[in-house]
Amino acid sequence: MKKQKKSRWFYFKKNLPLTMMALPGIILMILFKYLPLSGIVLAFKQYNIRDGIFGSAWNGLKNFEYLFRTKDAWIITRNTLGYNLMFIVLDLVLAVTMAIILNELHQKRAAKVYQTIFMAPYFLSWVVVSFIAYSLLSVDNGFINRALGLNVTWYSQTSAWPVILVVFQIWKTLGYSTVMYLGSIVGISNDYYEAALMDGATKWQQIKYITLPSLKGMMIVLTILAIGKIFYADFGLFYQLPRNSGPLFPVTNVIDTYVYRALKENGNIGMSAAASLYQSLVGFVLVLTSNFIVRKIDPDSALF
Amino acid sequence: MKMKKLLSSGMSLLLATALLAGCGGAPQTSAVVESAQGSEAASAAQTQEASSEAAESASDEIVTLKWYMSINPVAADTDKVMEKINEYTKEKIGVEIDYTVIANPDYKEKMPTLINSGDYFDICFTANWTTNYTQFAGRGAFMDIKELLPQYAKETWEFIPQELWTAASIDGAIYGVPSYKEMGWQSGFFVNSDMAEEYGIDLSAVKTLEDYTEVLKTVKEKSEAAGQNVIGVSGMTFNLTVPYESLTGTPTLPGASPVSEFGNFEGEEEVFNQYASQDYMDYCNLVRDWYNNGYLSADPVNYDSDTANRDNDFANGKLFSYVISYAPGAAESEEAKTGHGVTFVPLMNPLFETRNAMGGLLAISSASKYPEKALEFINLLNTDEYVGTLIRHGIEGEHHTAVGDTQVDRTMGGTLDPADNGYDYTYGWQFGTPFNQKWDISYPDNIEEMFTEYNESAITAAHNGFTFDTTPVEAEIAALTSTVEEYAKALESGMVDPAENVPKFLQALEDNGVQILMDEIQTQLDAWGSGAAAE
Repeated sequence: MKKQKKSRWFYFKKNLPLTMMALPGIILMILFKYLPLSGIVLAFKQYNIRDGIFGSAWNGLKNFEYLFRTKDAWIITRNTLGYNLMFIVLDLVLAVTMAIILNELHQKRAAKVYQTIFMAPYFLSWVVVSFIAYSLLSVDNGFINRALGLNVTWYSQTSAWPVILVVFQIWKTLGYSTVMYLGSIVGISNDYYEAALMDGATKWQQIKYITLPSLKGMMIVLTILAIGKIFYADFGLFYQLPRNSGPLFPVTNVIDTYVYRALKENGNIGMSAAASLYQSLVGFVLVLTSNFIVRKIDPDSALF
Repeated sequence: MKMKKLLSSGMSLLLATALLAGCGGAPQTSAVVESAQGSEAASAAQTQEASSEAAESASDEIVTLKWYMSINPVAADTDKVMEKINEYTKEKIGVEIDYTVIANPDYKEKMPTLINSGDYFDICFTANWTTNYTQFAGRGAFMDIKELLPQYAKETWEFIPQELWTAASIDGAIYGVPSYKEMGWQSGFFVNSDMAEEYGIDLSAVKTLEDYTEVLKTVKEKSEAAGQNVIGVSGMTFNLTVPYESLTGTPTLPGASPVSEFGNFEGEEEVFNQYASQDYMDYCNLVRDWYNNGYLSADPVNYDSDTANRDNDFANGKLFSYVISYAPGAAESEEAKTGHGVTFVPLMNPLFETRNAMGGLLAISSASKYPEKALEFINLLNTDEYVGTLIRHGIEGEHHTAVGDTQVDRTMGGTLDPADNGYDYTYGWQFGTPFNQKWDISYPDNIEEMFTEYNESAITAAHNGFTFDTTPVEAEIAALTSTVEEYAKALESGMVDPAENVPKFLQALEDNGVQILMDEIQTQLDAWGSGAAAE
């Protein structure tokens, strides 16, 4: 018993510099992630400024009503989950593929250039991207209509938007995830590949038996984190890119845009707190579930 | 071992995201405090409390009032002008103003956050289009000043017409001093009259929307013959062009009452859903025809939302007309801006309803320590011509020169380019009332008479003073707001076929509880009616 205590203290002392390095991050987490949690009570209150957050009257689950009340609830949920699932799968497959391709390039300078080019859109704001899209899709001056001699009002073509949204999302985020995987690939020891080459493994076999298994951990971590956000939709993508076009709502309305539109008239912060609590809860449950499944199949790869 | 490695990579990733999130957050917070006197806004509560307490103990004379104001754009010389104002107000009423001015689009985002988070302020600008007056009053952000008004702002209390006070009251309480300007709203077209003359169009014949079809046809034919493609009209919206009284205070929300003087919405109940009316169908069909005939832009929804582009096209003669909500003198200032003749073609007489008092108000915080002083200051804005002119046009000799007793010249006799003028607001009503501010010489000499004429021709809506309390139906309003946004814009600008989409729209409204909203309005209206009758 005593011995164990001593060893704990020993480890603590040994890791003190590392702990100190983590401290700023921990403090930030507490300040911006844990303290605001107490604001959750707002979701159950009829908020009144004079009485403040904690003094306002309780109103049960009334703030949640509007989320399920609407006939659009099904469409919104479907869109949010559907698009996010598509993004997670496509992002995983394409980013890993891109990372492997970039890694296999012999000209390392060229690889760097490509990497930078892929990464660039990630830093653009959706507002900027929405104008790029508008210059492509505008009915009278858009590049696509002009180049192809069409007269399509893209901003009311519901069938086109699932594709457009996915293309822009992938275009914008692919570079970022690619770099994550590329970083892991670079970290794989060269010994494995050399050994494989000796045994006469082809490029494909190297990828299949060395690179992909080594990336497994990274893939699982990133995917579980992405699943945690599956009930959140990127507001910029779904609001700015379709320019808030009404006829497109059946394919662009997601939880975040619905909440924004619903509450911009009445600005009820209790109701918006309810929406984000709902999103977080679903995300939390999904993270636990997916981690549970991963642990059942392959305990070593689970996040916790 | 592997487990540990994974964990650590997971943790570092989390930390990295936390850091990234931190970086993303930083510019936002700094954006909140960005303003003329930005740094002060951040710690407004503390500094305010400290300074006002200090002021109290140092001398009982000077009181500092924190005033948040919304106006476009934020003038460069704001600090200079406020210094002048403070000089005057210190002497006159013992008040010093700690002024934070934020441009309209930002104010809309920042002020509600400031209020919700309980920051200290004394006076703030509020309206139905920014920092919503009724909602914040309902949530206890503003002070009821009804009792204080006759005592501390007597001149203002008498100067502002009674209808306006009625309209600004909520359940018998008054939470803000409304801007006294034009009484009501009046929509119509701003038309490029030079072009109309060139094409031989008689604008005086236009009385209704249907009359306008002929005009648009001529524009299309003649401009095409001249090798141009002039867009006939922009900004078509149902609630602007087919007037009704909005009982919810938000014209796009279902809940209308017909105004008998306008002769539309025949046979509708006192409370009805305007989207389910025959008038809505007729309107949509008319605009759809215009769209199909090429009188509108190819993509009206996107075209109309970009007003900078629209103003540009209107000035360059690529756009013939657009729908506006008119105020006296607006056509003249539009002429000055565009460099061609502009005629206003009204579609209705002015209509005064509750929400018109809510175009702009100055409210006093329910937490304010000096509501009396704040009211005295608002009184100066409304009745002291020196303060009114100073805050609208800046300092005489630096931002304008006086012309006669009632006018100023913001170009200072042509020596000052308006673009270089460090302080001048075209529209001063947000500061209180234009009747207490000298007019720029670009306005017609008889501008005040134009206002009087406008106000006298205004129809007061039957339910003036009725303010709808949205609390019982917030879930329905949320769902309905979203539904209206989905359908109305595309329908009202002619982008989609009404025969197919209006029934869909109505079904969606029905599904989202429009009837519950109608019933609630009716209930509240009945209660209000019996209360008003009892008084």
